[in-house]
Amino acid sequence: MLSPEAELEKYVELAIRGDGAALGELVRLTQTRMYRFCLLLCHDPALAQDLMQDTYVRALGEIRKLKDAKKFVGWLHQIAKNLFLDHIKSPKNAATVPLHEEDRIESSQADFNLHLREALARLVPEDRYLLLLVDLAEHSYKEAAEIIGVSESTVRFRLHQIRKEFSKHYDR
Amino acid sequence: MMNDDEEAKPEETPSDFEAKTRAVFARARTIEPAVPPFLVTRVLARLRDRQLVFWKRVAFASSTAALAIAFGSWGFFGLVGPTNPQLIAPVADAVVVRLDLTRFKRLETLGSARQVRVDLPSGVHFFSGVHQDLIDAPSVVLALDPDQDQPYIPFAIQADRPGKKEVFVRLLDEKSRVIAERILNIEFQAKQEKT
Repeated sequence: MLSPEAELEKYVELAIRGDGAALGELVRLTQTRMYRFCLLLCHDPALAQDLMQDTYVRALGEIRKLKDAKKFVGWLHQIAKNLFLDHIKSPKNAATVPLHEEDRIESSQADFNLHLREALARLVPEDRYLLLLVDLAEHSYKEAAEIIGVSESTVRFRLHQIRKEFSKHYDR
Repeated sequence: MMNDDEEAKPEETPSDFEAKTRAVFARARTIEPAVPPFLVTRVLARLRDRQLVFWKRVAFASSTAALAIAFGSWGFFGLVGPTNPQLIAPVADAVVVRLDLTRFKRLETLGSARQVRVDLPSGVHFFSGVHQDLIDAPSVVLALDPDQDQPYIPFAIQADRPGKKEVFVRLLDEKSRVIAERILNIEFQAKQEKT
């Protein structure tokens, strides 16, 4: 039986070769982690849903451009970040969206979720993205450096600063 | 002045911060967010729409190329005003008609136009590389977006046999009432054989 990552790679390769049925499988296999990532990146459920959907449409529509099936999830994260930054840089979306009231009661983990989102919301979007990329999505420093397009040492240095700042807000 | 707790607290190292944030996010990974329903369906539907738009562009580009080949120096012909010029086109070749709406805008009634209906005579049919069902349709209705500035409406047609044909173009209001009408006279001519 294939591991989840091997199964994902198999479907990415099928999709790159033009197998339309594989596209749905790619969404199914990654949607939970992608939604979690988008939710923490933009701290707004409605925006996270739109962001995730736009990310999949962009990524799957251009899947043949992906050279390495192993990099599919990192590619999704990169597209999500670009779309999110485009969104918040647009003048009409300049104001950040507050946390929704319904999120405060959505699960038994509500306090943790709210606390985490509030601490993340205090980071600038680029820093939040890098932190999520490594500490939530578990990309290595090397992978994160490739995704962002900086050196691995820059990632290490920046992450130290970001983690320090995040801890300050989270511990408050 | 620092209190006893602060004095006793050792300075956190980079690895402390790393361990702390990794622990926070490890907990975050255990929470299963409620993924929006029908995500797969919606993503696949949007991908299909994207592909459709792409192929429509390809089809239109192909039609335009066909026209360019068919007409050579004559270029596009347009439905340009109240006069009904006689246009000549080679039979069996797809040709694009460019409906010039800016000329129609001279009409007072254009402001209320919401649709354009094109009616073809027998022996003439629409040409589409993608929408094969259009080939058998004697007429099509094209929506006009009142918020968009659409100077032209293009459509491609093809005739089966030589002869003079009349193509009716009608502007319709929001209740589908005809508010303006033009007749496009086209003479489809047999291709001359090369000697």
